Amino acid sequence: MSDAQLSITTEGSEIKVQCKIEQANGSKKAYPQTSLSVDRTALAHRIGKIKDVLSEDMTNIWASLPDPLANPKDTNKPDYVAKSFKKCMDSTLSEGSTLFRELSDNGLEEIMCELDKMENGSTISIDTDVAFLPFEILTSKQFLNNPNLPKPKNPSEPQDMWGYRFIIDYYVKTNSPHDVGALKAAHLSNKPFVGVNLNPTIDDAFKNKVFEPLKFHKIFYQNEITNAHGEVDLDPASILEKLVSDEYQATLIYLYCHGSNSNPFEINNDERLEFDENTTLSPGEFRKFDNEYPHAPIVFLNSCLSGQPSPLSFTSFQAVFCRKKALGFIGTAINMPATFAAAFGCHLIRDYLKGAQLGAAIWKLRRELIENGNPLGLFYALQCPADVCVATS
Amino acid sequence: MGNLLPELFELKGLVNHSLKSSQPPFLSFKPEEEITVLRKLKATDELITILEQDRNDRFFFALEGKHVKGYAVQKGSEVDLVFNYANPKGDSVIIIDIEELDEARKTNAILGLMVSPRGFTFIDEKESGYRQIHFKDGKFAKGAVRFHLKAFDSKSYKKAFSETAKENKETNYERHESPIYSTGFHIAFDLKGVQLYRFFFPVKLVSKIIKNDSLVQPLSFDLDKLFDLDKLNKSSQYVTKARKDLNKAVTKILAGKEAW
Repeated sequence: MSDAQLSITTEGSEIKVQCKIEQANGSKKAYPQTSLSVDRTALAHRIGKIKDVLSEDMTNIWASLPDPLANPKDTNKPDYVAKSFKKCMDSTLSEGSTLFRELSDNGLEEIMCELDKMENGSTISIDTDVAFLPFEILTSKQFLNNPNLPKPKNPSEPQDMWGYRFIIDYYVKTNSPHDVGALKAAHLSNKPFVGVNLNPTIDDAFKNKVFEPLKFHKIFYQNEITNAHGEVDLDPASILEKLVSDEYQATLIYLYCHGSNSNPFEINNDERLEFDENTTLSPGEFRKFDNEYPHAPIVFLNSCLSGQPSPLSFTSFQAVFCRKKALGFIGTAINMPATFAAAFGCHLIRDYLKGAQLGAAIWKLRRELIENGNPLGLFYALQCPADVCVATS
Repeated sequence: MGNLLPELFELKGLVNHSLKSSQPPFLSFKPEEEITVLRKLKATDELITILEQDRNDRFFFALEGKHVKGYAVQKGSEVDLVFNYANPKGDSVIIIDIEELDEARKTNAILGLMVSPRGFTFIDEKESGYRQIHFKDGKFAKGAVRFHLKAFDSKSYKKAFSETAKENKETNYERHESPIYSTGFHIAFDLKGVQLYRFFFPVKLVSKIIKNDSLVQPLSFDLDKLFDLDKLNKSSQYVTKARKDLNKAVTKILAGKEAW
C-alpha cells in the first residue's frame, strides 16, 4: 500500500499544492509545488455547493428504515429502497466526477492522476487550511446524472470513489500550539472512555417512527458501553459544563446534536451547536474558555455540516477543540439524516472500543455501505491521524 | 543518514514540515546539533561515527557579512547570501537536504536557483536573482553562488510593513492576527524549468547586532524541551506500531476478514 501526503494551503491570496507519495516498496516521489487556479472565495463557493448534492428529499428514505445501515434487500420494500439509494449514489458519483475534473483542470492534473493510480488500501493524508473538500467522493471516471445526455463509455462505479479505495485523513491547520505526537501519546496512555452527549429533543421529530435516534443511542450505551467505558448525558447544561472543563476524562467526545450555519461558506457565517432549543454554543463563545482536555480526545461531532469549515471562516469548532488539546475531529460534510447519523456514530464507537484504528474503522464501514448502495458514509471526514486507536494494554 | 532527523521528527508527530510552503523542505540542523540530538536519542557510538563520516559536504545557504549573527541581519547593512555544496560552517547556515538536488549534482544536471529577497535589495541593480548552477565531479563547477544584498533600513522596512498590512487587509488575509512582514528569501530550485522545491528562508532584520543578544541568536532548538525522550520514545514506538497495525487491518479488510 502507498502513502500520499497532500498539502493544500494558502500563501497570500494563492492556494499552493504539494504532494509526496511513498510507494509500498519504499520509493518516494515529491511533485513540484503547484498553484490552484482558483482563489479562496471561489473555492469556498465550490465547497458550499457540495452540501446540496444530497437534498433532504433524497435522504428522507433513511427515516423509514428500521436499520439505517441495512442493505435494501433486507428491508420491507427492497426495490423502492434500492431505487432511492441509487438516486443518492448517482448524485454523489456525478459530483465526485465533476469535482475530480475541476481539480485536474485547475492545476492538479498530474497530482490527481498519480494519486488515482495508487492501489486500494493506500492512505491519503491531506494537510490543509483551505480545501475542506470531501476527497472521499472523487472519482477519475466520468459519470453523468442527466438522463437527457448520452451515457459516457465505462462510467464510474461506486467502487471507483476514493473513499471506497483509500483511507483518507485530514490534518486541518489551525493555530493550535499542541504537538500532534504528544497528543497521540496522551490519547494512547489513557484507558478508552466515551462521553456520549445527546440533544434530548431530537426524538421529538421521530415519535412513533420505526427508528428513534435517541432511544437507539440509549440502548446502545446500556448494551455496549456501560459506565466502565463511558457516560451518557442528555442534560445540555451538564454537557456544556464538561466541554469547558479541564477535568473531562473522555478519550472520545461524542456530540449528537443539531448544528446550524446562518450563511454557510460565507464570510459572515454564524456557526452554532444546539444542545436543545434554548442551549446553543458558537465557536467564539467556546474559545473564551481556556480549558484543555487531559486525555487528548477525538471529538466526534455528529451534527449537520460539522466537518466542513469554510475556507473563509476565521474560527470553527475544529480550531477551538484543537486549542483545547483535542487530538482530532470527525464531522460531516452534508446535512446527514439523523437516523443514519445515529446508527453510523454508534457503529464507529463500537469499533473504536474494540481497538480499531479510526481510519480503518470508517473505511471499512464506508465500503460496506457502498456495497449496499449507500453513499452516506463518504460524507464523514476523519480529521485526525488514521491510525489512532484506543490503548490496547 | 542525513535524513534520519526528519524521520525522527515525523515519528514525534512534528509532521509535514517538508510540505509546508513557508518552511524549508526539511528540518535542518547545524552539524554539532545533529550529534547532540542523536546522543539525546541514545544513538550508539557506531551510529554517530557513521553519521560523522557521512556528513561532510552538504547543500547549504549561508549569510555572510559584518553585521550578521545567526539568522539576523542589521537593518541597512550589506550581506551576502551564499549557496554552496561543501562542508557547512558557521552560525548562519541552513542545510538543505533534498534528494532531487543530490540527484542533480550526481548527474551533472543544470540546476536553476531563484532567490527573491524580502526586506533586502540586490546591490547590483541588474541582478535578476536567478542563477544556473553547473556541476563538475559532484561539486559546483564555478564555486559558491553568491548574491550581494543590502538589508532595508528602518524607513524602508516600516514602509514595506505598512504596505503589506494594507495588502493583507484588502485580500482578507489578515484573519484575526496582526499582519506580519516576514523578511528573508523566497528560494526556488528548478531543473529545466520544472520547479523542484520552493521555500522561505526567514531572516530577521534587527536595529543592531549585539553579541549574546538572545533576540539575534542563530536558529536554535531547546533540545531538552524539544526532545522529552520518554515522550518521544513512547510516541515513536506508538506511531511505528500503529502504522503496522493499520496496514494489517487494511490487508484483512481487503481480504474480507475480521479486522478487529
